[in-house]
Amino acid sequence: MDKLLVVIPAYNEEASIASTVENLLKCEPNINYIVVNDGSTDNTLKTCEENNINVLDLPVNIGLAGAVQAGCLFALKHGYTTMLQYDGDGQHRPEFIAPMFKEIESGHDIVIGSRFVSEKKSWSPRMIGSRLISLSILLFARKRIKDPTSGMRMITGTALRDFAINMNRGPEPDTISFKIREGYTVKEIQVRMNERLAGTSYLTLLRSVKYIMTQTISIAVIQPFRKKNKKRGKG
Amino acid sequence: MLQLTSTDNTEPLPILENLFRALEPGLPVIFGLMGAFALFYTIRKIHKSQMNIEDSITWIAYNIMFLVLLGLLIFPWGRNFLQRLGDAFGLNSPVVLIIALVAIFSYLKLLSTSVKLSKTNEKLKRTIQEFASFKHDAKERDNEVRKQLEDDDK
Repeated sequence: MDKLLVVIPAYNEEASIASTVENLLKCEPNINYIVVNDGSTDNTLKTCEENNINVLDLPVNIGLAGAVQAGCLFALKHGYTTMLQYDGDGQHRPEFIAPMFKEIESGHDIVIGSRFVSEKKSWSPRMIGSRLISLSILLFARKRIKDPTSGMRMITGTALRDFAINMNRGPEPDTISFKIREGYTVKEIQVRMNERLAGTSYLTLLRSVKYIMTQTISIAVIQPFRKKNKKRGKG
Repeated sequence: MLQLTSTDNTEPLPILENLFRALEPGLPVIFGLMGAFALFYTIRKIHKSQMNIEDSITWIAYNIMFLVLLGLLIFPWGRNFLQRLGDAFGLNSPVVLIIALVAIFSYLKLLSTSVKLSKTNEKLKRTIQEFASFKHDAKERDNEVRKQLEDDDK
């Protein structure tokens, strides 16, 4: 896994970032990682420096999409061919990195750590939203993605390059749907996730509704007009 | 309020409404063309990847709503519906209602864009300052290393 870089976007994660990295290294001692401090206003940067954590410090807050893109760009510039987006709040579990990488090695472009491959999805309001996004992807990209909102995604080759340099490639379901339409292969594998170690989720009820609507409209209405660059080969 | 007399001299009308009524046959056509062009332009920008998806969703929704409202003017039932809706807000013409909606949306969008632009400018300024400071420190470190090497050579 020496060509894999784990990108951990962090915004105000002072309470959880050190333990997240510690758990990661305990499970995968030789893994390469970078924490992208997205202009945090708390002591995230200080905590990283005190714990000798590799950190890419963004001078201002540019949002999750920009932070992940910074990580993708860093990966490309330093010769990595694969990137894993990994939450800084302790929700993602490192034991699933190796199985995900195995799927990348077997030829998939994007691998999603999914909570619902063999597990059942509940009918909570948030999961109804997730089903709506899944349905949009099924209808417009002709692929069943059971956990489109999972933030644990591994990306490789030309897909990684595309994420790193192009506009509108946020780490969101609509980008996954768009990559499927462009001919990239996406595979989901079953993972388990923890509760957040600290802090509160960015997604409040109002933001969740806005997020689900935006994603659904983006997949169903906007995507047919977006210019597709069909996948040519792994690079 | 300044009043003008309507064409049949039976009821007085406010000057603005009189003006809009005089322009009414042409205004929906001009607005329709403008809406269609804006929709086409937005789609073109999406195709060329020159527009943020969230912004494009707002503009597509706005333009479609605008064109649907204008389209309603063609049908007597639609015109009647807009007329009644306008009456509820004290506007006596469906075209005035559409113009009011366009003005409100444009005003709010302009305001939010202005706030967004201010924030972006601030972030850009901070980034440039940080970059300049970083460059200065890197140059200083370079000079120190060079001086050290020169001293070692001596």
